[in-house]
Amino acid sequence: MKKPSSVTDPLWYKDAIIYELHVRAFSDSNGDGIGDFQGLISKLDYLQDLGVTCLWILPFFPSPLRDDGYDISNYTSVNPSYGTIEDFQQFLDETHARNMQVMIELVINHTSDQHPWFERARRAPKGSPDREMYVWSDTDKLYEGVRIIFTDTEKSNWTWDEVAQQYYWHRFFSHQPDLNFDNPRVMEEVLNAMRFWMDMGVDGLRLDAIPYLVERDGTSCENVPETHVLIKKIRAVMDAEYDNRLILAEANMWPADVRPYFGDGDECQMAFHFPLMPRIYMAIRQEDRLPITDIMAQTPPIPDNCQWGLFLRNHDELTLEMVTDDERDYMNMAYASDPRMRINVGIRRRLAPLVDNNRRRIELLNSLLLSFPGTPIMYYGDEIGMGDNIYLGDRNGVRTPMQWNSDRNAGFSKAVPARLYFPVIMDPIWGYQAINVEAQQSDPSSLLHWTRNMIALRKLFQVFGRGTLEFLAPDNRKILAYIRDCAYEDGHSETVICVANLSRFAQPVALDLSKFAGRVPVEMLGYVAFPEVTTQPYPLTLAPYSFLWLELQPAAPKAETPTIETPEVSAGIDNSALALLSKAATPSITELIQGAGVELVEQLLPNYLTQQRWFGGKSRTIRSAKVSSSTTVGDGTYTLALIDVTYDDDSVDHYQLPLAVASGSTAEELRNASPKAVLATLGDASKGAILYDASASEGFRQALISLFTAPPEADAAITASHSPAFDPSNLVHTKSRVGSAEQSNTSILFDDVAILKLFRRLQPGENPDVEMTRFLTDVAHFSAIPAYLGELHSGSGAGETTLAFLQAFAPNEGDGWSWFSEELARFYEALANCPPPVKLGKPANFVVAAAVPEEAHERAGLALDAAALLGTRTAEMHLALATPTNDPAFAAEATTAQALNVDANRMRDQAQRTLEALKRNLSGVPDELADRAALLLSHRGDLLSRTQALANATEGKRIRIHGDYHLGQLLRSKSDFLIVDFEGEPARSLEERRQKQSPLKDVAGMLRSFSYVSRSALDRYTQRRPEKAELLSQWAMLWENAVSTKFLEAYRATVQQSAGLIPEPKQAQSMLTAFLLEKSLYELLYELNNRPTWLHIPLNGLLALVSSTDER
Amino acid sequence: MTEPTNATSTQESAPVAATSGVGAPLLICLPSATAETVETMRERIATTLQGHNLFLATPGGASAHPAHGVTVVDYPVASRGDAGWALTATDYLGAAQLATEYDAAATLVLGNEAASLSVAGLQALAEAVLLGKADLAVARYQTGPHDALVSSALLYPLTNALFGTPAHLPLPLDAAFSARMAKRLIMVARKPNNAAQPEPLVWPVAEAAIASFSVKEIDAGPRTLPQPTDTDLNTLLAEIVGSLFGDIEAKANFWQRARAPMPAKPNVEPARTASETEELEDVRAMADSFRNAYINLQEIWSLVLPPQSLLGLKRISRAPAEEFAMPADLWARTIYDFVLAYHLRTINRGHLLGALTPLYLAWVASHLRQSAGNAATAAFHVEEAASAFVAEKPYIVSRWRWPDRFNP
Repeated sequence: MKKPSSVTDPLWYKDAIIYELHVRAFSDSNGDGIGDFQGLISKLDYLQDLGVTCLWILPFFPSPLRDDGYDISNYTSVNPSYGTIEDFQQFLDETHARNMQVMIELVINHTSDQHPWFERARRAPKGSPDREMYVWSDTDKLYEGVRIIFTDTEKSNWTWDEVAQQYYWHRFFSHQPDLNFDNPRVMEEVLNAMRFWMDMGVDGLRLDAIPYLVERDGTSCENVPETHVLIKKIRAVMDAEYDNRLILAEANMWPADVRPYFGDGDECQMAFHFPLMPRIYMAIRQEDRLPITDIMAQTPPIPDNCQWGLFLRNHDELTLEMVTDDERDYMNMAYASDPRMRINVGIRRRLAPLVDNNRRRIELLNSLLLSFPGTPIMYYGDEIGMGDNIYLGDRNGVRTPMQWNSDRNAGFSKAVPARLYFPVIMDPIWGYQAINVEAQQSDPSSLLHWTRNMIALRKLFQVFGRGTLEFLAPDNRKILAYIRDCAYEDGHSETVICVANLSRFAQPVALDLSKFAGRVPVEMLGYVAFPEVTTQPYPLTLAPYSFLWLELQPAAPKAETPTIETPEVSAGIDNSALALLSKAATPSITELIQGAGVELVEQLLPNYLTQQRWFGGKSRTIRSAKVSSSTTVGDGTYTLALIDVTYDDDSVDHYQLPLAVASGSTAEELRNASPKAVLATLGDASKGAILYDASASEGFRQALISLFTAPPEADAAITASHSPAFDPSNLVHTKSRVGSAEQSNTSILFDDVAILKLFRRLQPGENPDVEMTRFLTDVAHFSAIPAYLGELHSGSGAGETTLAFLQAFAPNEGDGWSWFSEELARFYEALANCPPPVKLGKPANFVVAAAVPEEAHERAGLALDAAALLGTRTAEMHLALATPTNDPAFAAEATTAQALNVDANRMRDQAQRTLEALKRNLSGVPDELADRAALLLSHRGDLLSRTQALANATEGKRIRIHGDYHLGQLLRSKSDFLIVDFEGEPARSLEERRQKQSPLKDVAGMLRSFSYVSRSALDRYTQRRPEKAELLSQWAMLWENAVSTKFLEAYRATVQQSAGLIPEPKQAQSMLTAFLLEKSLYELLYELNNRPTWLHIPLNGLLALVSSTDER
Repeated sequence: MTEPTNATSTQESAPVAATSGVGAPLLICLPSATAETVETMRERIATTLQGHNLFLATPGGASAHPAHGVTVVDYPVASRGDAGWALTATDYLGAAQLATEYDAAATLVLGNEAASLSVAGLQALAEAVLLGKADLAVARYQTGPHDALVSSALLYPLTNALFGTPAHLPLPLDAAFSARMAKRLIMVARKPNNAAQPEPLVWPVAEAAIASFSVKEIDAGPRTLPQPTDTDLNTLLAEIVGSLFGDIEAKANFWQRARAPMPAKPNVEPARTASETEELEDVRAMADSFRNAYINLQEIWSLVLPPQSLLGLKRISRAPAEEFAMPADLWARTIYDFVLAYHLRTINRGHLLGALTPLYLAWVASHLRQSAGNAATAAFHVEEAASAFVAEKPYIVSRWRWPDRFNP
């Protein structure tokens, strides 16, 4: 029979607000100058009122107190200074009575050297069970090289013991010998200690210093595999004997190294997220979100029953172990200018002094703490902004008595001040007369009231403790914006957008919330409704250090959709159709679309289509939209209609539109959740039935998936096929949602398993994206793409049309363009006050291996590494596409003169068209570019001749290529890239897109993309600091040259694995130049017509190409 | 979501036909019935609900002989509640435990003077649960302008606005519930209660709402409404309202997001007349009492209410009886501020609830004056209040989330 817990929810810690305190520091009831349990009990009402739900009590066991109680001399008793075991039981009961839980410390790595076990061990014979309770050695060379943690005080992890005549091992202070878990008796004693406290009703245990439990020679003696066996054992015993208890791991490691301590949900339920803490402080000081988003990107997923423990400050130093040397220096300079503020590898200061007692900064940091994924842990006194005392030794500066009021000893104790365990803080700014609980309770605008309100607010929304995290990537990096989302078992969900301004000045931001179009953000503190979200960027302005929590709610229902039976719409429709709508029962979609109702639907379509993002004919006039065919999907609830859209120029496009009819509560939910999907209200509006785009329905989406999982039907109008490597049953029981990123199609996500792209505009023939991805997955086994899983198609032979494309879901941190843009923003920011680069490097070249200047490595190392990786991946893609095959669509072909002539003529046409357009529009070119435009026109002959150089290149192979290759077609996934979207240039016909071409065309596309990203990032930066334009354009040039060179180097090195795939260097360079020329000319024409402010990018690119005579 | 009151359910009709519920026990509990009532009810149940496997639970029922196809079982005396005027936590607990014991498909628990409940009402309550239309069916009776005023002024508007469930008697006298609702009621009724309450209350409508169970309000026609034995309005109001405020506090994270339907106002023109009616004398007395309270309780009210509301109350205190009216929006905000003060423990909760009584009486005075003895007009006034509570819901949500005293 398990012992019951004080809570019923086994995941209670996910919703908890933990408050860390030391009994010694909180309240003294007996006037001895040391806080005690009776004092703490007297303050429980205060803690309940504050709203915290779990108290984490620092060690309160008998101890010599040489490490603030972490040097334990008896595991099953209470330090007499703090009270008795009965006092502790009373404290526990009274805390539970207030609906709060209690977590205590289980310090199992070491004991005090005054523990009876150690006393016995040092006197026991070598090798005896008593001696083996600790780790002994005759030499201090064992485990050599293992780092020392307390570098300020310890010189070795071994200390010689005169009595034992051996060295004993200690990872912390020399008075804290490590227990030896290779001795089974140690585990027995640990379990006994655990049972002792859990039997009393303790709800949670913080396992101190667990990475160091086991020592193994030849390792760092940290995180060794045997440690996990021990933790699993502790957890198993706890789960077997007790209900709903918690283990929290203290492992000051990188998130990826902490991850194993969660096990498969069978080790610790919680672990601290140590590296996040310094990065939050770094982000606010640098006014840049990157440190935070960076560390969260490195944070791996954890099991469902596990949780991160988040904190701003605690009883130890603000640890800087998990930062780079530069970052550590920066943090020390920013937050610990006085050396007394530093200890070990960290900063020993409290929250308020760290941020110069700025209330807004304190509030902003707390808003992050309370809204990030994890359980917030607050340190006592931080709720009133207590200060610290850097003149006390060790970490004691942040462990001074709690400041309750302005009476003697801050109301902490009635003892004479000299008797206090530490003096209270008394200076004019931080002293207890200025900062205390009583004063802040009386002040409705105090930090205490603010903190209490925020805690109460967080507790109303479970999403903060249990939801997912997704960062938004607005251009303004001073803004940190993220989405917390949680779907609950009962079907309801919560979505919250958190936006924080990390800057000391007001900041604008435009958020891409398009996937929430139609929903209304409600500011959560004041319950204020903000304007409805649309597909356009959502603009916000944030005051200095301010934050917004916005709950996304469904928009209030609006009667904006047409009602089919209104006289204006129904005029001219035959009576049978109207009779259909006036039936008592709601018509089915089949009745509507295959019967008399089709005319009604066709009347609605032109207006509906032009409001859809995926409709490509918005700029044209629709003459008619007819339902040419329809296919039932699922049990007849849904139909897939094929719509022929005829424009006033007689051209016709074909679109597919899934349709369904819903009524009652289903219709109401759809109206609220997906208002844009509603085509019309059917009949009397009060009946509420709607005709809608069925992609908004979970039922329809599941019906699509069932086409993959169900046995194929003979003569089915829609057929499914899938990769042999994919088992469609993996999709059963997944939940779906419609993605937001897709512009021209509709993407449906099935959990984190797959993504189904439902094509909207249909073209007969094989879709190149599907065809290429299938080949790369099933034939070439190329892994740097989201894998092909399957497809839906209709028709057969030449008339076969791809309706939908199923791919593996690829977790990512945004596209390659965004990633490089962010890197560049940091690059320019860092260099704004530096002198110009000494060398600019040279453009990427096949013939001459250009050296990348050292400055580029120093300043843009990350980007260079990424470019090299991308070069490798690009070459691997081309090698995969050149995989020998009998499939004529993919078999590599030799380059022929005829094919090259076609290319050369195409380029020449492009050049002529572009130069004509430039000449025609010269007067419209911005003044500062006029000279350069004229210069380019003067190179007309040279440009045209360069296009013809292609015709002389007879080497290399022609293969299927990506065809529209640029940074926007990459997904950044952890530390790698995935290549997506093999559809080719959408403006070209399917036949053109499927033609084989030189792989160098893709290479040229990416090189141009590097140029674009560096220049557009520079434009953005210099809009703010125009005086830096000249200086930074030189750095931009260096960046572009260096990144392109690294990309090309890596590409060449890898692509050489297939001899003859690209021509010899000189020819390759000529071809590359020609493709660069073609691409730049295309860009010039595009910018001329659409974005004249970007014209300078291709213009400068073209001028650089024509001036590169030497390397032709 | 509650379905609209079904007018047909008040009509006398044939006994509930045995449908899918055949064989499944239907349990009827009479926790506080006299022997005479038990006999009457047994016959009525046998006639009205024939075709079902009927169990009638009454205190000492095990000694009664089975008759008319109704098995009489013992209702445990230990679990009897004695509020009299409404079902209490112990009533629900006793009935729900029996329901579990007998594996009842549906359970009816009928309050004092159950014999006055119409046959149609009895039948409609049972039918609502047996036919799967609802997990909880609560009765609503034909009432006059003077009846069920605490419910009309406070309980109904608050429950409707916060839990999105328009039940006019959220503390029902007669109710029916499903097997799964029985399980939930056992859990709720067992929770430790406020020791200050002599007879703990359960708010079944709110419980059903947060469990996403369906609730149906049954138009049960006329019924004798038992009066509370405790005639001290202050005490009674404090017990009922304190219990509701506590329940609201406990369910905050639900109602902060539940959307309430706008109650439909009855299709009558309000008779807003200041003419002398027989109510006006009562109104005059209550208005005088309110004026006194305004002078004496201003200090306490000013701790709870913002200046705008205090100003509104001041205006009312100056109005003659013929024009005495508590605006619906002011009433709603005032109650919401009291809910919040209860949550924040701004002042001692007993004092707080005591300070509410004169405000409640002001609403009653306003109600009586405006309804002028007309039931339809009274109903309109009640729905007007309910609509105001819905409209002002953002006020309580924003105040709850950020309880800054510096507000308008």
